[in-house]
Amino acid sequence: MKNEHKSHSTRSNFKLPDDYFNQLEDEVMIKLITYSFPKKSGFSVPPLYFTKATEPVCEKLFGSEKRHGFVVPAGYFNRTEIPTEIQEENTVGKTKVIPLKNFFLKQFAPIAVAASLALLLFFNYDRVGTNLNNIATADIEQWINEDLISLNDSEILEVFADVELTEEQYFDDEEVLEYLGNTNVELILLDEPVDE
Amino acid sequence: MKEEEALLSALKDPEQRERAFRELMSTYKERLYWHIRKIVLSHDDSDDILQNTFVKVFRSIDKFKGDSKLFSWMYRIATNEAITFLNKKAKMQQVDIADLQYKMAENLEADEYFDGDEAQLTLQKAVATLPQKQQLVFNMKYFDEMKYNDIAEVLDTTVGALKSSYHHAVKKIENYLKKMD
Repeated sequence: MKNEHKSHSTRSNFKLPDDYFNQLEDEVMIKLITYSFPKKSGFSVPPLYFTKATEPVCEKLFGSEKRHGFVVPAGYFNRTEIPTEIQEENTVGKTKVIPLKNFFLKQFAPIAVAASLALLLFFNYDRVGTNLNNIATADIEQWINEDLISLNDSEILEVFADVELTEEQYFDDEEVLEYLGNTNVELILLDEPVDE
Repeated sequence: MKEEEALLSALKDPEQRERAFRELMSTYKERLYWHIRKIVLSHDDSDDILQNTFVKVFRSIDKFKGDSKLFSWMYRIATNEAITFLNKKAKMQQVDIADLQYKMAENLEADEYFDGDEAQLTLQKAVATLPQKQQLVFNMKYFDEMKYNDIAEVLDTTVGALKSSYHHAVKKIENYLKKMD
């Protein structure tokens, strides 16, 4: 059977796609199955849809020029030289030329000066706050006296080598003896809780 | 073919571009619309995708090298646009694309622009159960009656692979319809 096909093909000079006869049965069977399927998809479109379907696309792609109604001469945007009529118009009237340097000095110089001063003050203020060497000793003494900062004796001596601390006695011997005489020290040590 | 060449050269000429593009849309709008519609099912979505397809065609016409037919190239753009749309929709609804398509087919009954009978509705549901590529092949071969060579050009695959896909699709649909009887 196969030889018959080959000889027929050779004699007539007609050619077939590869595997045509092997696939033919499958093709026919598939066609028979699909005969039972509905041929139409069942989808529909709004009335006159296809007459208007491409209008939004045209509006999107070509619409802007038509909407405002203005047109420009052909090749207008490709010009490399200024047209003579525009050049002539520009040379008719006298125009006042303000040098850029003067304009800058008049408009921007005051703003630049104000900004520089503001920056200077800001950075100087910051430096005073952070460098202890620039603080007068009198100021520190005042802060300590007013309890604005709390430093113990050794810390003060460490930071300020030139500061002399004077020893101050809060109780004299008589006061201490009197206190101990009136107080039961044993009771305090054994019974009462000690506040820390 | 000569007509297509003339249309293409007019599309690339700024002076004739608008006229040529209107002609192109007028020629292919219905075929492209029905191709898109069978993928996304809803008329409104198909309308949006058809417009986006034409805009994309217009903007990339200079890149078209003529390696395939102009219509096959446009068909490919439309297919990509429709599938991208479905993927985005599935992502937004956080569902699998296969689930989304079946859900869309089930909702066809309520669609204002679907007036198919029971058999047509069942066929659409059956198509929605197929893998994406088999759906495309089935729609193009069965409904659009395209030749395998043309489908191969659109989907960038071989005729042999297409035939196999189509046969599988038909068998699956047959089984689905038998189950529904």
